[in-house]
Amino acid sequence: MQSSTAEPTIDETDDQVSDTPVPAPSPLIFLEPVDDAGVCTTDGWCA
Amino acid sequence: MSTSVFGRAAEPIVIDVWSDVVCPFCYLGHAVLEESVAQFPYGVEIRYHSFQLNPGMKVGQSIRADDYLAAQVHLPKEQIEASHAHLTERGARSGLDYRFDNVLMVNTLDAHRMIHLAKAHGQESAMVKRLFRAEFTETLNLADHAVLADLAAELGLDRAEAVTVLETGGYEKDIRADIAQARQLGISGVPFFVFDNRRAVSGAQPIETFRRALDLIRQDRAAQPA
Repeated sequence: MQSSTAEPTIDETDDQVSDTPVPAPSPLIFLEPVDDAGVCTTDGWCA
Repeated sequence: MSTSVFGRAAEPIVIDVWSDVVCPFCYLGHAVLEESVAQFPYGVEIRYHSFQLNPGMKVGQSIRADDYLAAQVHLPKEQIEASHAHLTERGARSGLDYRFDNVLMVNTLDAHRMIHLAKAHGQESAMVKRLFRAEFTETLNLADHAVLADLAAELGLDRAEAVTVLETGGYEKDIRADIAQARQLGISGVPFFVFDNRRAVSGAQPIETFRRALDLIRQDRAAQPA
């Protein structure tokens, strides 16, 4: 199942970075997607 | 933005949400986010941003969503039905009533105009919620100007102003700016949530994920120098 389609910058888990804030401007820090996460994409499908 | 004597920790956490009103997972994500915010004991400001899943559809046209998906994605009917059943079950747990049999797919440009109009009158969240219910439970045609104007009036907005916005292509720049910002962030799927311009959640994730994001932002702020 598709869990995430938007991965513009960093794909870190919150556990890895929660105590180490980076100075602004910073790239987005993704919370780790879960299997059940649902996304609809511009190619027309939702999963 | 100025910082109060209580520091940044006292300021509301800003959540920027990109979504489209024909996106079933956006409806679910909106509901789960609201639930997590209601349980969070600190201030939160939610800002909605336009995103279009089907910008190529002719404005004003409507087609049964299942037929659109079958033609667009070439998936078997059984697979579409299984996906709907899964989402219906998840939605029910959040108090949502999906009626996929009659849901219509439209170009949502005009619906986004109504969200921006509502935003100008402090009714952004109410309009987003109302449009989702219109799309997925009432299965209304959100390409129909009369339907959109009625929804605006129902929220206490001026119906004549809504009609003018629809007929004159109002808020086009704001909608395009939202979509451009999404592109800048690399967003190709919705719903997409950005917390304090720092942490991102992609998709209609469980409430625990949203709670964790809010907690992490509190930690981030506490770790920042005053």
